[in-house]
Amino acid sequence: MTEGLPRWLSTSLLALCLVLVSQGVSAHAQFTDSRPAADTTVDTSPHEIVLNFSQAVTPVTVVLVGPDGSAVETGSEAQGNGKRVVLALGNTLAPGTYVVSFRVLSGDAHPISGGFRFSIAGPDVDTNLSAEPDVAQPVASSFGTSDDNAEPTLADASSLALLEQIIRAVFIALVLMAIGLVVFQALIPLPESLGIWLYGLARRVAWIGIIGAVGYFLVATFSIAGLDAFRLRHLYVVLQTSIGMSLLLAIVGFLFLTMSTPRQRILMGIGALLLVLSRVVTGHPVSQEPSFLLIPGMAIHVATASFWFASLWVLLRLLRKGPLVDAPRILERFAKAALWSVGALLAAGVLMGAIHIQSIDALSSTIYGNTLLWKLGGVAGLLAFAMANKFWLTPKLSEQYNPSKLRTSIRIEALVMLAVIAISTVLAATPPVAKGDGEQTAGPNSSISVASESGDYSMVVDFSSQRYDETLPLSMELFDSKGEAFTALEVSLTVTIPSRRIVAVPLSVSSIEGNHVIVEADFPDTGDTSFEALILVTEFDRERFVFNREGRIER
Amino acid sequence: MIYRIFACLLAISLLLTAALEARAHAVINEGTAVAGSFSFITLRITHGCGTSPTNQIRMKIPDGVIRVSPRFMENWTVEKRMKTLGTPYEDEAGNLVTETVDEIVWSGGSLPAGYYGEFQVRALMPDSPGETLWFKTIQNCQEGTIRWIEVPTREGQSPYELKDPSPFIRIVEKPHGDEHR
Repeated sequence: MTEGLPRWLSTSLLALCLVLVSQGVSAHAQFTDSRPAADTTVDTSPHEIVLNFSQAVTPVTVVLVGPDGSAVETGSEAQGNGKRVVLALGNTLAPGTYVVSFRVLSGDAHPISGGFRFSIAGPDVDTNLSAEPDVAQPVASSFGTSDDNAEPTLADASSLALLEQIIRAVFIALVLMAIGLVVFQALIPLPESLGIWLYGLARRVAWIGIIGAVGYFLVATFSIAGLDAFRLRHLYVVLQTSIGMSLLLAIVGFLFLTMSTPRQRILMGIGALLLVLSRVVTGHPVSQEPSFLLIPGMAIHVATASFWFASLWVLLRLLRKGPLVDAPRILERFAKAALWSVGALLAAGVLMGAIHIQSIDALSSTIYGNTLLWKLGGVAGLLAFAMANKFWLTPKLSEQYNPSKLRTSIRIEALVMLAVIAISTVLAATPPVAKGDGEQTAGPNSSISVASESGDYSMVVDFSSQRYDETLPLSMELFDSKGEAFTALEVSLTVTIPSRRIVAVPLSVSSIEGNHVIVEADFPDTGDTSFEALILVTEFDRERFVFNREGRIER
Repeated sequence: MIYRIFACLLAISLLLTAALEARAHAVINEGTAVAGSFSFITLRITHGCGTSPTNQIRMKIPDGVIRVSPRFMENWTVEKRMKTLGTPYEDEAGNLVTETVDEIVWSGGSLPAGYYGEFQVRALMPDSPGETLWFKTIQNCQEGTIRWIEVPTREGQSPYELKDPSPFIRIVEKPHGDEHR
C-alpha cells in the first residue's frame, strides 16, 4: 500500500501551486510604442527594433515578417531590458513593409501579444500604408492553415494537436476516476477490505493524475511555442491561460487526494471538489453563454459521469475479489444512487447540448453536432448495458452467486465508457457552432449591426461570406448617433480566437473611404472568433465595438 | 498546520493584488478640486512617445469648467480655442460672457523623452461635488501620438485599468467653516 509522498513535500507542492494561481490576479504590462513606430515609414533600414512596455517584461518571441510574408532571419533573439525589448537586426532590410509580431510576459507572468507594421522607403515602395492592399498579406497569411510558417507562435499550434488530444483524454479520464471514487465511497458504505482498496486506488490515480497534468501542461506549452523554439519561460505563458488554471486546480485536487486517509474524508472531499472545479473553469462553460447555466450544468455532468465511470471499476473489483456476500447489498445501494445520478447526468448533458447546438439541423451540419451524435450513440449503448445489469444480471446474482456474466457485461460497459470519455474530450475542444465542411447551408450571419459601447455610434459589419470557415475581407460602415454616415479618423481592429490561442492580434485596415472601412481578415472563423474595433470618431473620442458574427458582445 | 499555510498564502496573494497602480501616465497632480472654487490644474506629462520628444499638447476642457486661463510659458506657444457657452454668465464687471475655452494647445516647445513637464491652468470648477472631470489630452511627439482619452465605460472600472486613461480631477465638497470663495 502506498502511503504517498512525505507530507511536507505534498504541502509545499500545494503551496507552490496556490502561489502561481494567485499571481493570475495582479496587474500586467501593456505595449506602449515602438521604434520604428507603428504605421510609419523610415528612410533607412533600422539596426534594431525596439518595443516599449508600461512595465518590465520578458520577451517570449519577437518575429519580423518581411514583405514576402515569410519570417526574416535576424540572427539573434530579442533581448529584454526592463520595459524595453530589443531585437537586433544583423542584416540590412530591403525596402518594403514589415510586420513585427511579439509575445512577451509581464512581470506578473501575464502573456501579452500583439503586432504592428512599419515600412522602409525605397524606389518601388508605395509608402501610403493605409491604402496599400498588400500590406495585409504577412499578418493574414499567419492565420492560414497552410504550411506557411510566417508567424511561428500561431502556426505551429496544430503540430502537436493529436498528442495533446490523447494526453488530454487520458488526463480527463484520471480526473473523472478520482472524482468518481470519492463520490462512490461517500454514497455507498463499503466493507473494510474494499474501502482500503478504494483509498489505495484513489491515491494511485491521484499520483498518476499529477504526472498526467504535468505531461499535458508540457505538451500544451510545446504546442504554443513549437518544439524547437521552446523556452522555460513559455511554461508561464500556458500557466496563465484557462488551461493552466484548470491544470493547477487539478494538481491541487489530486494532492489533497494523495494526503487523504479513511479518517480524513474531508481532505478527499476538498480534493474532489477542486477536481470538479478544474473541469469547469476552462472550455465551453466559461467561453460560451449563458455561463450561469453552463457552469453548474457542467459541474453536475462531471460529478455524475465520474460516479458512473468509477463505480464500474469498484463493482468489478467487488465481483472479482469479493467479499461476495456484500455484493447484493452494495449492488442494490448502487442501483438506487445510479438511478438519480444517471438522471441528473442526462438532464445536464441534454441542457448543455441544447444550449450549444440550438437547432436540430446543427446536429448533422456542424462538426460539434456530429461529434455530439457519436457521443449520444455511446451513451445509448451505456444505458443499454446499465439496464441489462440492473434488471437482468443483478437479480440473477442473488440466486446463484455466479458473477461471471455480470463481470463481462461491466467490463464491456467500462470500455464503452472510455470511448464516450474520449469523444467528450474531443467535443470539449470543438467550438460549438463551427462549420468545418464549408457547405453553403444555414451558416452564420453575413452582415450584422453593432452599437458602440457608449451606444452613441453604430456600424454595419459585412463578413463577405456566410461560412464560418472563411472571412475575407471584412467591411464596416460607420454611422453616428443620428444615423448619418461619418468618416473615422483612425480605425484599428483586433481579432481573438480562444480555441487557437490567438489573443488580440491586429488586422490590417486596407482602406478607409468615407464611412466605408475595409479590413483584411483572411483566416478561418472557427466560431469562437471575436473582434474589437477601436474607432477614433473625433480627436478626443474613441469608440469601442466588441462583436462576433452573432452581433455585439457584452463584457 | 495546513490551515495556517492556507491563511499565509491568502495573505500573500492579496498583497500581490494590491501591488498594482503606480504607472507612468499623463495625470493631473492635484487629484481633487473644491466645488465652485478657482483651482489650479497641473497636467503632468511623464514621458515622450518612446524616445521621441513631445512637441504639442492639446487638452480638452470639460463642460462646466469656465474662466479658464493657462499659465504663461516662455518656451511654449499657448493657444486658447474657444467654444460658445450654452448658458452665458456675467463677470464681475457686468459684461455678458458668451464664450469659454474649449481646448488649450501648447505648441512650439520640445519636451525631451527623458524629462517630465508640467502644464498649468487656472479655472473655476463647477459646483458639483462628487463629479469626476475628464481633461482628455493628446500628446503629439516628433514621432507618434499618444491619446490620453480613455474614460471608464463600465460601472466601477478604475481609470488605471485603461491603457491610456484620460487625466482627471475629482470635485470635492467645500470644507466646513469656509464660507468665502
